Amino acid sequence: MNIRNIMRKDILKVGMNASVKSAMDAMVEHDVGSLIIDKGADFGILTRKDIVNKVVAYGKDPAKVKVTEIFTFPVLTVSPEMSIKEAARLMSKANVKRFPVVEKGVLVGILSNSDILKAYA
Amino acid sequence: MQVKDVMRKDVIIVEPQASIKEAIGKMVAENITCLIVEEHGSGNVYGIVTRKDVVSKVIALDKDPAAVLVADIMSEPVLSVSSDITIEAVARLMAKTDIRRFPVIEGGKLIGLVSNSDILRAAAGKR
Repeated sequence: MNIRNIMRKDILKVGMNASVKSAMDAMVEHDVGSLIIDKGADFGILTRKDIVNKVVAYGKDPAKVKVTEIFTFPVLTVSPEMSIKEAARLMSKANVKRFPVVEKGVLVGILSNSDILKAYA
Repeated sequence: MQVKDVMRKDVIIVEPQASIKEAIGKMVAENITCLIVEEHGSGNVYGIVTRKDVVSKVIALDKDPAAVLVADIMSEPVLSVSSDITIEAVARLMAKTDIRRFPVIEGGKLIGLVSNSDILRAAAGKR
């Protein structure tokens, strides 16, 4: 089984000018742990952890922080042809729990460790 | 806002001698990312086994989940927090320790679990 079979294809994006507050609202509303930050030709990623560890932890007002101040760019990506086991090994090595999935330069999905776990249940 | 206002109270327990296959089944069925491991015969010693442990220590190494025990890969001892610290303080602890969930202990007893998703929801004002 490879990544293509288990990745999430509905990708949520926010723009570079979005506030962390609007990103939080989108995460909670759609029950996701990360958002893709659209940089036009490229993209970054913003996670729940970025928000909790860099904004909430310091008592900052999420409405006054922009996603670009705390997001991650560039991002480690994987190919949809990669096996699940390899993706699990990469997660372990890189200490991240999700990868954007890119095929021929196009973002086609997101793979998280929960997708991997479900594949093994 | 304090931990007790945002924590999850329905903590799912697994025994140390359970298999990882069993643990995966519980996590997926309950849609949770970790299980508290209760040491048999002792009320106040806890370990924790997370989705990350399963992915990094079993699946990544191509081990058979049915042949690995919870006790083999769980974290023990576990960092816990008290129920009356603020969510901002917990968020800072999460940032410092690079851990995203803590068992909540009151009077030596496990009463809940607080994760960074609970904090995000609370901070978004949507609990």
